[in-house]
Amino acid sequence: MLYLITGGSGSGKSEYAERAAVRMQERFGGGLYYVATMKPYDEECLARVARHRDMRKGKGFSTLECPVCLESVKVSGKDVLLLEDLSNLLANERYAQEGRIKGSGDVMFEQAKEAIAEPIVDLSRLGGCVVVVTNEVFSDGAAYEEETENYCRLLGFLNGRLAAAADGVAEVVCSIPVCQKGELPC
Amino acid sequence: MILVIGGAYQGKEEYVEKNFAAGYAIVKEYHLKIREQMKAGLEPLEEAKKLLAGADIGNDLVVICDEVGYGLVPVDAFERAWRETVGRVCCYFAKEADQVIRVVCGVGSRIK
Repeated sequence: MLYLITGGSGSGKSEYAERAAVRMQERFGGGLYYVATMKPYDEECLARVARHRDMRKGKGFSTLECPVCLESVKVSGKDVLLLEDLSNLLANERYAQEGRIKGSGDVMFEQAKEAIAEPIVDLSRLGGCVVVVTNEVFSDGAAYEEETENYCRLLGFLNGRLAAAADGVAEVVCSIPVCQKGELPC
Repeated sequence: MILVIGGAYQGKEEYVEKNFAAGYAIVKEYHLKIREQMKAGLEPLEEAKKLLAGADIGNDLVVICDEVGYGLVPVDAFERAWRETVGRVCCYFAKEADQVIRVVCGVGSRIK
């Protein structure tokens, strides 16, 4: 199964996604994994990582560090993965040296499909569940330089791809899950 | 209390005037109050708790706040912190609220 959890900054989407993953684990009975995508590069990132770690404490997650190459994650049938988050994974695949989404135009969308969308969908069809956290970054109306726009295009593309494949899509607003598709995990 | 959220210029205040006219204490533009609190070195979450603790039980409180977290992460550290803090404070208000209403194009949807 696949659930996509989206929302703005500080909306409580991580906390909701954790709850969703724990609920799914109770249902599927396999392992519970937190797929961490952030490569911390400053104090603020480290504080964010620490805050999320505190939030997860005692909930039974094992952490898998996966800044790029999601297809290398080894899980089995009934496992539940919480992937946090899509915007970091995309930034790593596009800007890190080992990243694979380096093209422009149509090529970059094809690369994003192969490097991110397909591996996520594959993982979600092993018999367990993947909960993906993503971000709404599309509504500030500001004009950015071309590469920043490309990043937004790619994130929008991936959000759409994953939502299309998902069993449920939740937009978290002030910590309240608003159903945008299907049925919500909790 | 009642929390009314939505993007800028969505008709939140008109919505509140129409639907919660009499007997309500209305606090407008709470996102800007959070900004002032941060500039003054105050802790916005504590200030939010104080606001609710001080609210008259018989006089329902309506807090109106812009949603500001739907764009790219700002480069400026203060702007970044403000945006996230507005989100966190709204999560707190939403948890305490009897109703949460989101206004889009003047149309209110009750999400709690």
